[in-house]
Amino acid sequence: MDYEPKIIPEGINTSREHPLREFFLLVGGISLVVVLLVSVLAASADFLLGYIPVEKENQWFAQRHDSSAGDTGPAAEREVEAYLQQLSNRLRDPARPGFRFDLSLLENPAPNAFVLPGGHIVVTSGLLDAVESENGLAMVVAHEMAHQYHRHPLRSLGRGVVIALALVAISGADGSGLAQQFVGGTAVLTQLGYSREQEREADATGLELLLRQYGHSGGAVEFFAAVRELPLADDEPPVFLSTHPGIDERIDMLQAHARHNDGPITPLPAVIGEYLAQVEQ
Amino acid sequence: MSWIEIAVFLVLLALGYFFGRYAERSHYRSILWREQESLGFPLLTLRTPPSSLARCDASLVAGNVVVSVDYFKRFLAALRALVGGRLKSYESLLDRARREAVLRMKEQAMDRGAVVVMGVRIETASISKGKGQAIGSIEVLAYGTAIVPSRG
Repeated sequence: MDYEPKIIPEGINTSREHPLREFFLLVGGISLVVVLLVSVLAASADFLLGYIPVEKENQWFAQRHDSSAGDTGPAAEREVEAYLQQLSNRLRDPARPGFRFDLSLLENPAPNAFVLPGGHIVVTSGLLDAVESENGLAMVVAHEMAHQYHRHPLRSLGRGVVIALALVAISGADGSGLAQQFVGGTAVLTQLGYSREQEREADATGLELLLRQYGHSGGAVEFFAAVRELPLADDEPPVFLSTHPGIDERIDMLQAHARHNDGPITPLPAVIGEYLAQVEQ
Repeated sequence: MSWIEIAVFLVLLALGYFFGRYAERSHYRSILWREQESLGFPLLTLRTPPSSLARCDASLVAGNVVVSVDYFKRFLAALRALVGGRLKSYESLLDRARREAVLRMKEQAMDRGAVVVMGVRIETASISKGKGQAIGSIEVLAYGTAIVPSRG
């Protein structure tokens, strides 16, 4: 028996294709599909949820959030909440009836405010500390009310649920954690774009509400200016990773639309100072 | 999702790509060179030796290899699993593991002064089986009967 040595040619069992080519094709293709899918689902959720009457939403989310009445003296807290409620009543848009706003106070040093479905607006004690005038506070409250006028809380909620279900349907079948993370991450980044768009919309409408009430936009940038001075501001993530547009962009936008910036500034009522003094103790 | 998570992911991906690619290239260089060196040594899948070798000594020779998957290849494979198609990133690992296992077996046989290895078989072992995502490695075992001419 003769043995004749032969070299088996390369490339039969492996591919000569550069691995980076496959990488970019897969990453690009899959991200494109995820972005398209998320966009279509988000647009449908946005569109359909707009047809839910606000009265229905108010009914579903009627439960009032129990603000933590602690040792800080509920009397002052109640007074501040009553003042916030009255401030929001003054800021209301008479052309949009049916909306209900329910203001409450949260004892937390971080300057923040947010709105939940059903028109529940929560303002932190840190925010009261950060603003200098009623106009500055009114801009933040008007911004949250604008979110509700645009039905953002309900829309975000619906969008989140629809997209989460779609992601589970896609990647749930395949147990690979890496693919799930990648698809999920791409979807989150796409959704953040919607969130930033909502913030811009709320800034614009909020400014309108402020102008209607005070006749000028003085104090509108107070809150953003205060946030920019925080030590945290340096750690601000890049815009594409954030739920909100950059602070500088927001200040620029507000200033671009500002009118009669030099109107009279209304001071904050004394009860806020009393409340803050109690909180600090 | 934060800045840190994305950075960690990109660093792992880059580490996997550069180290994995370096390891693969140097491994292939070594495989090609050693295959060329030992080209004259026959490996047969026949179970019984030809009659001319009937009076030789026989012994078991084996070569085994475990190659780990790098992060980059695993990520490619995970994305590939969503759309289907050839898992090219794993094919080269299996190719390397198989050829390395055969080479080790062959080198062992040559060390013993064998003239041929009969009944060559290739199998995959299963260290990582059942561990899910924990390890991720490719294991190949090659074995056969080395035929050594008897002295005297």
